[in-house]
Amino acid sequence: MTAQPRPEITVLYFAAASSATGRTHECIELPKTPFPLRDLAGFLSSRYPNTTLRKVLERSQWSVDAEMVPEEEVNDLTLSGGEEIGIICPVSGG
Amino acid sequence: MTSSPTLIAADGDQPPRLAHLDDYERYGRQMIIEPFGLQGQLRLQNASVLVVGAGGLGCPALQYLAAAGVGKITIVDHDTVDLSNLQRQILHTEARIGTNKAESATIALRQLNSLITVTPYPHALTSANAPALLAAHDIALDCTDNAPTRYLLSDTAARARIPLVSGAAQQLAGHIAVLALGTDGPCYRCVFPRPPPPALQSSCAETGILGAVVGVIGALQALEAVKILSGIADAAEQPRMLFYDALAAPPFRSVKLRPRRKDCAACGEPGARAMLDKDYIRFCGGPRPDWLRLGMLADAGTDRLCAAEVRECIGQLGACVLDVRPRAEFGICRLPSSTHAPLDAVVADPHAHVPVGATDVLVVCRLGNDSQVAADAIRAARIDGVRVRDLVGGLRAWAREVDPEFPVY
Repeated sequence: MTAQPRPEITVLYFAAASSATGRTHECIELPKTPFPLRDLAGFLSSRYPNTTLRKVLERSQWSVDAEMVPEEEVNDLTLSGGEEIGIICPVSGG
Repeated sequence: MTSSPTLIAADGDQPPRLAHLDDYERYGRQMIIEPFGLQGQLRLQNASVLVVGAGGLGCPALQYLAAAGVGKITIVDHDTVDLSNLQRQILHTEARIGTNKAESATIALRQLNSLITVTPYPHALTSANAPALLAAHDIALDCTDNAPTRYLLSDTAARARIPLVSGAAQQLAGHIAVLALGTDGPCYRCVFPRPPPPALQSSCAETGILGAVVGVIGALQALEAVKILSGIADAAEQPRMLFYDALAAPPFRSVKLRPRRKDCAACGEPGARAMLDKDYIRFCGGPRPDWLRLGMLADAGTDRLCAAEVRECIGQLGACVLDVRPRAEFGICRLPSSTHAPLDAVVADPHAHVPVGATDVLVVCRLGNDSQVAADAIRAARIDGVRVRDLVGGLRAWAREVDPEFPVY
């Protein structure tokens, strides 16, 4: 009998998050499910030590399945795999 | 009285006329589009747009707004045209280097379309002038390049409920959204309640920008403004923020935004509206650092060398020049016999970047700021027999004081 594949999410890195990680997106296995959205910043930062990602995430917003998540709802949301998560960080240049 | 069926219809049956006969030929290509029509053109002709910023975003946006026949355009910018702007700020010219950008863009737009009214406002947007400027226009475009002005502009537009087409871009990515639209559209503060930390509020000058990237976002801003002003935008559409990344596949993605926040300090319910801090620079974490000036700071007795002193050291036994700029910048120009060691790598592991046998480490960067960080990190590693110093003012100072042929970028 084969083991169940761990549930995955797709993470979209935008602007400063993309500069920090060097990629525009990636698929990531969740370490457990349900996975609280509020723990995602720490989990992603630990994958990119010695980068600016942790700082970027402190001031970024999340989108889940192409819909922005208001800050007060972050604590209530859990991921079960299959979601597309966007890291929405403001760009100031122009 | 009898009328002949061959006569043209009476005036009452005639559609309204555009201001000039030539306008039919000039705008015909857009008027024959079904939802746009004569009605769309008449609305543009009677519309007024405030464009804040005549830089990388503002230039392409202004170009399309003027070409489309928006009747009244006001351009706000206090900055002057610089050679380093011309790679992306496509309304300005070599001949107008040193000219105010609002004035320069006005000259360009009048050449493009002499039948519209273009007004330059060659001053910075402030808490004092923003309300009246916004109130005098139907819609505003945020084409600015800094977080404090973005919050000021959005707060003012949101309170007056003047739609704000917000664009931003740097390096290879950007985003655009229509804010403060209708009664329930969110404002910039609803979407981003807290500004990014100053260290991450880099400008195009510091982190770079590919010209066509601001072109994409600026053109989209003009398009959204034209859609709203001409009446062809779908008012029932949920607000979205559109993200563009030139290297991502697909390059465009959009995210649905929530409606206006009831507790927003700018546009929330009356009870939630705070007296907004008028000091937007402080709200955004203080003034943007003046890296050129900071890189030149050197107290007497510190381990910083001027360019002439670095020149004396290069080539001497045990001397080693570490260049801590990013890889792309090291590829543009560098000192002879210098070694590339990017800042992050040096800070993470100083030992790995000091060659065996080196006794005199000279750290250099572009302006003389990162070199101090790197030199401190190497000193803190306490490597025996190694003296660490860095170049005051960076390679910019090297070009100024030692080698006038050294490229400045």
